[in-house]
Amino acid sequence: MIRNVTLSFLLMLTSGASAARSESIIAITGGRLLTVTHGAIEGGTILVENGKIIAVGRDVRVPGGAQVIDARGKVVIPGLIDAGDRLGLVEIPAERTSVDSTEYTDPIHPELRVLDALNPGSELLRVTRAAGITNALSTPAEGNLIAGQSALINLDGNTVEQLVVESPAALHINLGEASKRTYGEKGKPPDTRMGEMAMLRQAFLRAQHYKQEQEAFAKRQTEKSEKKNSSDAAGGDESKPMAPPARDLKMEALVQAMEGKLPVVVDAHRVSDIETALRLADEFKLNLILSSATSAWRMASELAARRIPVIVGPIQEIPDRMESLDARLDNAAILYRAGVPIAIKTDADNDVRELPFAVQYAIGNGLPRDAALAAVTLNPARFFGLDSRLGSLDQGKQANIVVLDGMPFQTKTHVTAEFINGKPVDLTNHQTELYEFYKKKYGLQ
Amino acid sequence: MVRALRILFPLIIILVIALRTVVPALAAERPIVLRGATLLTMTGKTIEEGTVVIQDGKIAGAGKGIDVPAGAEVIEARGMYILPGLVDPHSHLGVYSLPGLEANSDGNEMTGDIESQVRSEDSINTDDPEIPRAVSGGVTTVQILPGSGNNIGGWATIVKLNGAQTVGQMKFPDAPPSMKWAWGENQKRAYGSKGEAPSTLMGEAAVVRQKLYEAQNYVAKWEAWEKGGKKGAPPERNLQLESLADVLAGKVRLNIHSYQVNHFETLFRIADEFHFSIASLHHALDAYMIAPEIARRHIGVVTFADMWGYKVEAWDAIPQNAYLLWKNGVTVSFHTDNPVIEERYYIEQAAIASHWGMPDEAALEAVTINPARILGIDKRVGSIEPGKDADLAVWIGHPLEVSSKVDRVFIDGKEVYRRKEGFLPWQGRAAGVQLAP
Repeated sequence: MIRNVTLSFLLMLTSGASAARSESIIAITGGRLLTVTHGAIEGGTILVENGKIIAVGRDVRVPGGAQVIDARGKVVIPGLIDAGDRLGLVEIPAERTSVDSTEYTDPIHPELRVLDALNPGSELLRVTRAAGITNALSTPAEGNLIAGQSALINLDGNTVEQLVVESPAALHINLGEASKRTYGEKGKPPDTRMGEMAMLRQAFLRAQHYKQEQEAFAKRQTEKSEKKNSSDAAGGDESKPMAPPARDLKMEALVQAMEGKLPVVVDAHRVSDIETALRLADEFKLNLILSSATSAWRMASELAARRIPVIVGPIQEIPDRMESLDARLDNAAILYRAGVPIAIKTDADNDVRELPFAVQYAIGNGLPRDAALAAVTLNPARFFGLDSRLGSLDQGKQANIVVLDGMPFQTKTHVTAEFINGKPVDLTNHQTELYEFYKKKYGLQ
Repeated sequence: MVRALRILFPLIIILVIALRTVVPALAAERPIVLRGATLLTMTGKTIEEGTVVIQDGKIAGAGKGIDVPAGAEVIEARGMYILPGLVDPHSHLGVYSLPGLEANSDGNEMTGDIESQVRSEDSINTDDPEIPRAVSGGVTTVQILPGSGNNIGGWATIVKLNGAQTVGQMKFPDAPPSMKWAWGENQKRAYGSKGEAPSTLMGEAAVVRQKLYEAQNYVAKWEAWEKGGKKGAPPERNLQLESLADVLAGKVRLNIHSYQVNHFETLFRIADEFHFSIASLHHALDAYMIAPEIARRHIGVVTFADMWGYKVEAWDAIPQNAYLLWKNGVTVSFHTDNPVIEERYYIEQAAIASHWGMPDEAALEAVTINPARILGIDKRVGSIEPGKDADLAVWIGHPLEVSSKVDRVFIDGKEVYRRKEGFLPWQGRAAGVQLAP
């Protein structure tokens, strides 16, 4: 790592073109780096170029011409990742025309992609990122049994393409009260938890059959072309070309999930729903991640033994449903101590930016500080196979970096600088503009 | 026998009084002393290594170098913080009991836009499982309001979270009468969607003004009957108009849910037209835009620290709303709107405001003495001063850091919460829905 820097430094000295190159380097110097993967580095420096972290350490030399961000006395962390919310899908929750988070037309919607609804112009992205949150798993909301495919996004970008880090990130299933309420009230299935599981199993069984048909067709095609080759040699074939089985978007998404190519996030609150999720995962060999998981603390050792990742949240869940009576502030801490890999989500839209307070509540209820930071950085990245790109201060990773004036999650800590993909983030938004206007109006400094 | 008692009884009384003077520990409750803590008094000063003496339900003394009364139970609180019990001026505790089931929905009488005849005390579930959770967060006094589905929502009830079985025992003694009104999106949505009035902000104003005229006429009818020598049958009593007559007579503290400047202005116009005053604007996310006018009118503001963007009327919310109001001299308070924010997390409101630049003292006043002032109960609660009710929370760690914990809570001098044991009045009691700890 240091060698790379030295090398680029030498190159810069020897070639005219590389002077321009070092100007494109950002150096964040002298800060306390909470790397997440290899502890804290006091007085460390990070070099960023072309959107990537190119060096991290105490002895990193800053190339001349680099843009220097002085982080002495500051704390530098990887950008926070909220492991589940509706950013980009919802603008004003109470106004339906601005809400694209649930397609209330069919309980089985594996084909839906958050990608197709994301709004890079959302003011919520600007407001949220000002709190040091650089990434989010943007997920379809509850209401459907199979809700669709999420995307892991950067909270900065002019286009959907610039926003998206990974799509699809996961397939989302919602067990419990919301799904049966949505359809049961209309006299349609599912109307009970039994109904939910029956529908889910039937959908995956159909997908198994779909896959078998696709495979059988492919096999026939291969055999036919082999036969054709041999009959060509023999001189002509009379059989008609066969139509392939109709492609089905829903089935294709489920097949991806069964092949382990798409993690399956199951939102479940009470113990019985968590068990249902485990049964479903066992039967169809799903790469299961539990989410919400209100009662997970009751089965922490079992989840740990099976190494099931759990996305806990919201931390301050209100026990306002029959399925959430088990809500407790130390759910994350209990799971962590049992050895369950955990991430934290806000499950919110307009108030995702309160994530740091939620994490501080988890810390106050027994989650160690380092584990808490990992739960909103490296762990969610790992859950979605993105830990080589996000979640820590390491060479080669996407430069999503936050500079703080204190330890993360504490009341009086503020973001002083932030980078997404190596680009300085504009920390202003609708609210800062209003505040500046009225502050001036009232003659406050 | 009876005669003997008649003579003896006054003697016993005299004896008891004498004993209480001579040996206070015998007759009165044993004093409790909390020693060595940082006292966040909410009177403008913080006392390091201070002592609080609790006697007969009241704060008997608070400060540095206070004498420990003989026979007192001394609790060491060195390194801890003592804050008055939090006062939440806007909650639906008990009227929207946990969990949020249909059977627990008692906060909005959604059958007419004017509901001045309903009282939240008739809806309160004293077994709401939120009560122990709220106390574990240091909350001791709560104003329970009807919801915001109606322009005139009904009478409020102020209670102490003392774990009593009945509303009667929970009720804050001699609290001023208080009523909930609401202005903005909710009411026009609730009725407009049914094709009923109001369906616009104009409609809301018209419905309310018309009803206030009716109240004036009602008052006139009674006055005429009284002036006429109360001849014949009195006019029929009408609960709805009688309640509004109290408003017109200035006997009621009005708490008005409202968000935008145009809501505030309409309310000011109506208040001026009918010569009543508004005690406080609630939620009031845009109040910062006209802070000087609100200060001039001596109206309190009860707001969220940061609740942006969930509907159009919340789009211009900024987390410095409370700070700007405070700077302009407005008495500003936070609230939970429980269950919108769960009652137990009330302190987080002050923490969020502190994050956004409100000084610590001001942020904490906004969950203690200021709401007490806005509700007109500040003679009894909201600060640590001799003579006030001993409603106190002992905190491990500064209350403005949300990882801090409440160690003990006292209400009227009685210890009602201990961190390891939970809510003491409900120990071993399994009524209602059981929640996780």
